[in-house]
Amino acid sequence: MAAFDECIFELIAQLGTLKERNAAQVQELYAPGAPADLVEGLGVRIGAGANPGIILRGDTSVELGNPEVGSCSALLWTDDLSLVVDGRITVIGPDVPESVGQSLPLAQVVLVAGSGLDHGDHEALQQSAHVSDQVEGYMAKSTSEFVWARVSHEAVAQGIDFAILGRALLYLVKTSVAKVSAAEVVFVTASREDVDAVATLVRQARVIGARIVTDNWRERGFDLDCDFDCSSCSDEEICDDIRDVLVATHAKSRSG
Amino acid sequence: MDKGDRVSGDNAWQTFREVAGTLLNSHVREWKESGEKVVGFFCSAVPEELLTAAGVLPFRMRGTGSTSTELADAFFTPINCSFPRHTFNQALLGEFDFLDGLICINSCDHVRRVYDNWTRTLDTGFVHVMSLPRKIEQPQVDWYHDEIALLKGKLEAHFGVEITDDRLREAIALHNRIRRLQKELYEMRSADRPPVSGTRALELMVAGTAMPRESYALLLADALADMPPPEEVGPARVRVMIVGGELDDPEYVRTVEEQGALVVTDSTCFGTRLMWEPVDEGEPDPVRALARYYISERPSCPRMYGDQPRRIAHIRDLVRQFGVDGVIGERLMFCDQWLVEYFMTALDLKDDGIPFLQLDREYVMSGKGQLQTRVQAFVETIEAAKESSACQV
Amino acid sequence: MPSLTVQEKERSLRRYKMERDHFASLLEAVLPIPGEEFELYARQLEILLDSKAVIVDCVENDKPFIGGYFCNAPELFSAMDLPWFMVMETPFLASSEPYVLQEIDNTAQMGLGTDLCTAIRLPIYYISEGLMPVPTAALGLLYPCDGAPMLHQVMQHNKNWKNVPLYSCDPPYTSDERAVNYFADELKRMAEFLEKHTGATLEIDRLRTACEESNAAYRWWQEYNELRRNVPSPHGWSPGGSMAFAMAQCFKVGDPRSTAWFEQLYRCAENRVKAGKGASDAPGWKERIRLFWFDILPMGWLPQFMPWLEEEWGAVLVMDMFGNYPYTLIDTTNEDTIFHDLAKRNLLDAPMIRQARGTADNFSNDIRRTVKDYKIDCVIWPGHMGHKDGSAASGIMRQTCRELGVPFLQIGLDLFDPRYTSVDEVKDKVSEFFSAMGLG
Repeated sequence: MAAFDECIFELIAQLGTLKERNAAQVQELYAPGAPADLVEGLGVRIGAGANPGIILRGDTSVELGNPEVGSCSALLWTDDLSLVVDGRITVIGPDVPESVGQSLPLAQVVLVAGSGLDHGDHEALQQSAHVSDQVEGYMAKSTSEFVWARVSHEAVAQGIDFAILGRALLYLVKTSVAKVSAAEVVFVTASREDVDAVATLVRQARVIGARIVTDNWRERGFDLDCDFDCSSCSDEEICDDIRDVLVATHAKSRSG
Repeated sequence: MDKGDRVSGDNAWQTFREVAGTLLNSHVREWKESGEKVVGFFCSAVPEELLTAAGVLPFRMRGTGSTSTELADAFFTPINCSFPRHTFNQALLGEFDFLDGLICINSCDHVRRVYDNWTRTLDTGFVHVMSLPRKIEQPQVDWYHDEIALLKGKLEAHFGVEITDDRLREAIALHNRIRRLQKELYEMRSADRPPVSGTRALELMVAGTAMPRESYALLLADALADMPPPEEVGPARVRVMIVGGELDDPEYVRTVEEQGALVVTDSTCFGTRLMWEPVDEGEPDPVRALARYYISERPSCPRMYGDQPRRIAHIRDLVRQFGVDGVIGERLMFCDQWLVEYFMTALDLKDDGIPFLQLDREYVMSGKGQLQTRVQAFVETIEAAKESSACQV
Repeated sequence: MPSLTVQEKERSLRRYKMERDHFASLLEAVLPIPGEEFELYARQLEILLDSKAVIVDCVENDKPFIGGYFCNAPELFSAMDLPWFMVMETPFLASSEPYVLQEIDNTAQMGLGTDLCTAIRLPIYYISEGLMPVPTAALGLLYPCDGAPMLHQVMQHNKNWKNVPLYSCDPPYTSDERAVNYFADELKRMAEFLEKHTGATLEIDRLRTACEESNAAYRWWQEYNELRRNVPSPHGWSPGGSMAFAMAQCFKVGDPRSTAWFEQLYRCAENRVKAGKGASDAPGWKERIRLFWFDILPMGWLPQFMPWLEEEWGAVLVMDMFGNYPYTLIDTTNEDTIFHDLAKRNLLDAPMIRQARGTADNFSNDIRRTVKDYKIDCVIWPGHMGHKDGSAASGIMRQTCRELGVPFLQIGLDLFDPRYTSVDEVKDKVSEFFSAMGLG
């Protein structure tokens, strides 16, 4: 049984309750499985540099996950494919287009399955779910405990909603780790209480995640050779040759 | 040697020397070969009794035998204390592969990072970090009670044992017995001609942290009954007390004593602070007894805020009891706690008219010549002062 | 109240007044300079000078005031109308003053050695020499490092401060709910201590108001930090994190002037983002390197180093340890929620406390988040001589950066004493690093 399986079981049960409680505001959407298909025809750019600038307060149409109104976020992975419905996007509560000018609470949980997934994939998966600026018109703020995001007026005008955000997340997750064969995402925006209920589970998951990270460090080991003290390094010549390549690569990635 | 074998006094002192001078000593080896477990721990604030009650051998971490910090220096820097650097280096070399577990603690800025680096590099089965309060009041006793209870639960789960209150009380009784015997030996050193040197005493104390406690208790009793030859303890030109922290190297004390400064007592992490007070066996809740002991009842070290008056009182009491002529404060380089503690100690001892010498050192002894010179000068100063006051009388 | 002679009072204020005069002359210099950033400096200096004037008045006229430390829930002091000064003010605010170097040397003469953090040595020196205002009561901090509890034990030991009641909250090493609740209880005991020894009363409604005002300031701070994610960053090392931290934790906490300052900081940065302006207005200047300075700024030699980074290398301090404050907003529903969230903010959020108090995961996690969100090109761990726990986590920081593909530099210096590692040496190391890594 993988590390987060129990959390996933609990989440499934919890979502059942939340769906019942908010029956009138539940959407279950199904997106295609292949990453390329996920982003086709989306209408917004996805990936590194998709949102090159920042979204100012004045340009914000909808705020999601401000801690003052409720916020939590988690990515739970498993090697049991039966626990995850690939491509499903579940929304419990109001969607983005109907919330212009509002600040909605947000619980965002991404469920990921792949038969070969293990602890070694944990960190890459966690990083992939932190969108930052990888969705055009959507900016996730830099907080460690929450998902706190802004959706721009422009993006709302272009029709951004949780279906698009969900597909973007699925794309980012699937393209970050090749072993992922199924992924689904849940957005809860119904109420603070509902988000807080999910937050309890998220806290448990965080403790499990911290242990995995420590184990991973141990398995990877430390690279003890380079401490950037070039004057004492026997590999300086080789390093100098590589430097030119690094400079070029760096310049290319910065220009996007 | 089987658990519980009695040996002659000579062998007891030899045993102490052997155990203090090595990491994986013959007793730990035998313990392991009989299928038993060993759990290392940093700092004298870790409740050893709990480990004994869990049926494991509590092993105080040292860097004994280390000659370099080359590997550890990738994790620490030159402004970090040499004790964790040497100890961790030994671990990276595999010298601690005999451990089945490790208890770390936030004793100081340097040692607490051993936990972070260890868990990321070494697979030691059971590794836990305790949160030790910095104050000595009731809320801190309560907090540490919960910390000990948490550790108890984790030990039980990991090692598949049940640490009942009775087992814990037995362990406390055993450790208290050891404390009593150690204190008994120490008190003999208040005599004009102490039966053992400070070097021997330190060997005895260090050994008490690195071998099965039942065997150690028996050895201790034997050793008390059969002291080393009296001529081993040379004539004392002056009687000194050593104050400090992680002093586990008998060679250091030997070097001090070779200059004519007989170490008759101490307040160190391997000395009186370990055993001057017992754990209260009358407290019905043994976990609470441990919490009170480790937080507020035993002599503290400088990290415990607000307790400096009690620490200096402990020093003053020992100075009086052991007829101490001068106090030597040893400090590992980069230790903020002892540096500032000595700032206060120096002022207090000056008020008392007690000579005080502060010595900085590295964990693995270096600069022996300098140490000798400074202690010689200290001895001569004290002798001159004694002569001068004798003349006045 | 401690009873000092007129001469003792005067002596205790000597250094304090020198610093007041230093900042007063800075204010005079800054006031006529046009520009939004200079207005910010001026406003902050005014608030600082107000605080100093109040302390001077308290000392000279035997009014109650407290000595404190940052991250001691200063909202409480505001709510109780208690004037306070930070015991470590000199190293953090005025260590570039010429007299400080001699005083650092004096600390070595006193027996405080040269390997104890300069920021700890200086207050010990001032206390021992009677050069620090002696408060009615003092609040200490027992973290983030070994030096902090030792400083406060010296306070307890010192003849002049022996009768100054001192309370310090105990910091747990863990960071879970149990730790937060424990610390909340410590804060409650701190409030009781203040009531007992100062005669001030804590009314929950006033605390609520102070916390709500503080929340408002923190909201602006959070907004401001988002603006620094922009490429180019609208601000560099100044105005920036350290100033924001000082305002949020050291000067007028829970005061509308502080909130107004933060709003002004935000607006100033927002204007620059809209105008596409980077940290410098120098003609032809371009942001070339975005760096994360993972410690306090080098307060003892700031003017010699920080501007050089921007001018010479286009290296902008997009984020630093003290600016990176992922804050907790205080739930002001009732007394318990207030103390709970004050505990969380001061134990888990506060810079340096967050990283240095607990396990090294805090260093590693901060780097991960900051590098991604702020598009950081390189991480610099200055390696201050007093930050021993951080230095013992440097291998972990380096490894984290390696995994992120971001260069990491560890220097080894004294943030307050430019003689430990000379400014030129630091510049050389940084330049070599930038060159070797193909940056700039």
